Amino acid sequence: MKIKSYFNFKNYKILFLNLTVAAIAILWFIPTLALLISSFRNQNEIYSSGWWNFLIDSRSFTFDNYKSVILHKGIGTAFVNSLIITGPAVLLTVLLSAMAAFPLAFLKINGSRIIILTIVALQAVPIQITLIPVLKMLNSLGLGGSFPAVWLAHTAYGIPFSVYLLRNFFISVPFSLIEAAMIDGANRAHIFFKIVLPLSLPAIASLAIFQFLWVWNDLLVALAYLGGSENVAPLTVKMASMKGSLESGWHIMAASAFISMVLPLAIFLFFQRYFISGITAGAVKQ
Amino acid sequence: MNKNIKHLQKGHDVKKIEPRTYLWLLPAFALIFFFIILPSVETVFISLHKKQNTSVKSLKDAIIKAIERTGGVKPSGRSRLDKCGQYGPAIEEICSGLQLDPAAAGISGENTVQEAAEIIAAAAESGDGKKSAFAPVENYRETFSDPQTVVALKNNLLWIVLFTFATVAGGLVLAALFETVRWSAAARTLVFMPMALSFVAAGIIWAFIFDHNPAVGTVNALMKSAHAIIYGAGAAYEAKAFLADPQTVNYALIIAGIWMWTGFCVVIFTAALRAVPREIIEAAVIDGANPLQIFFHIKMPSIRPALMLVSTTMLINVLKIFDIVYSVTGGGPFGSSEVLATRMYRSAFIEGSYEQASAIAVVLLLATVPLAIINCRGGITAE
Repeated sequence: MKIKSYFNFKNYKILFLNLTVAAIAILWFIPTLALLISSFRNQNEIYSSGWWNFLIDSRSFTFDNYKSVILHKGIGTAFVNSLIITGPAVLLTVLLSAMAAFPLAFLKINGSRIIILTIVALQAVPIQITLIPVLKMLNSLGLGGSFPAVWLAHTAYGIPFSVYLLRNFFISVPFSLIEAAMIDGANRAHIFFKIVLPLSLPAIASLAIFQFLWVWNDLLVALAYLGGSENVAPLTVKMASMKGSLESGWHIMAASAFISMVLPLAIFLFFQRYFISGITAGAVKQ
Repeated sequence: MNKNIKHLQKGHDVKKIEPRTYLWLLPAFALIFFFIILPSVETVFISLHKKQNTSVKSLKDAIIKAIERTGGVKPSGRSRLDKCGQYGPAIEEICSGLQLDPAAAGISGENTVQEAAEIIAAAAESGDGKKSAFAPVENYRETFSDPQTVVALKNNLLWIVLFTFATVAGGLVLAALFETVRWSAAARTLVFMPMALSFVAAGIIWAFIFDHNPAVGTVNALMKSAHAIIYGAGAAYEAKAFLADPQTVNYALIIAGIWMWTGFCVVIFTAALRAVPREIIEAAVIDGANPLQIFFHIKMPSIRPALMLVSTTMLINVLKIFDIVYSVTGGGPFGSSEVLATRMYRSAFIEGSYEQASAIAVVLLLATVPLAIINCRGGITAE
């Protein structure tokens, strides 16, 4: 009698749902897995047998692709460039956005409603509309093709979203704390650095992760404002040009792609909670 | 009471606002102004103006035409001006169109038509004259009668329809489906993971999956096996070059885009579905509603704000789609996968036509205006 219950309708349904979800999850993971495996196979292997053969016979495992990509193909330089671009761009965005969100959340200022509306509207503006004039401006300032150009550009493009996100988090900071500090005679800089920022660390973390992923993964801004020069090209630009030139085999492209993915994937997996709280903040009223 | 408190929110009536408060906003807004607002206005301005054509060849043609009209003879490029009758008014007409002083340009009757054109071109280049003229429709007409831009526009529409529908509908279905199993968090992470990748890396991943060679490309390998099963092992299989075939390249790219962005929709829908009050669902269960009825009549209406947000976010994303097309196909083969953003980039930075590029950018901007308005409404109601 007991066995029968395993085969009743409800269990079939649960089994079916589990299998469906598993199939979808595997389907989503296969493309990444395929390239990941290929990045550890040598060139001949990749071109003579499909990546799935590696699951059965993994004797051909090798780190050679990664070695040659880092040492000889300029991916090492590109990785460093990506770091140089991303670090200051993230710091600057977080600092300036937090400064702007502070009065919008706590201090009564004229036109705060209009400012917030502007910020929301600017989030939809395509970067393309700004490319040509900004490039001219950067060139006339002598910044064309330099890192500060992309730092400033990424910060400016990130600000509308960042200010909106931070302001929405800031208004949930208990107001009584700020009031108490004010009565004690604390000035605004004090309140900002000693109360608001420490209490909004989760929000700042989620913003920093967003901005990191956005800058690290960006192609258009780097392509337009840095030009094609190898010395300053970040990973995305470097990889796009390698892909376009068709000179590199899959063993090179696979290893390059994974080097570019290591950092964002690690950050994503470790800080997923902050990332998710960031994107759902505006969408769902908790 | 401390005077500081007067400037705080929450019901205090504020008479005077310290101007210092605005200093907090200044750096952020200076950047926004110089990198977004002012450039947008400039781009609109560029798109509404036609650059004067000051190439020697076009000037020569213009001089020949003008002399033919005023003097009655049709000169060739090598004819001396004083052999062409009334050349004076013709040269004056061309110079005044460029706001140049014909006397200052130093053209005499001893010059040939070719030389006159070269002199005017040099004068125009040196910067005294007027560089562009107001022409509100010309750039747009030129841009959108260009067959390549038309292809880009059509491809963008294809992206808008397929990408938006697949990510939003797929995200909703997956979010609901994942909630039925215990390990939903793990499944969500796998679907969400591509969000952390760059479009360039994702493009490499999918170019590998769609590779022409059945020993490399997974899709071709699967189709080859299916072919062998259907037609017998001996039948020859013709591998498909998905990314090199104008018929399939757009769909292949859109699949990669969907793979990247569905996870975003799943995460937002999951949060929205979980925020639906449990009591309402329990009440419906007691009243005998089946799971599908609960989904369509209770959950769907209460996640409407999330649905709007996800749809507008996806539409804004898909309008700007650039990286994946640029890095995987570069718009090829033969421009068949070009979208407006890649076309704009090519116009501006490869063909050097800022006017046409600006016209495309303005069209992209106009397409986002309704979405920005919807977002603003959402932004206000969220207050």
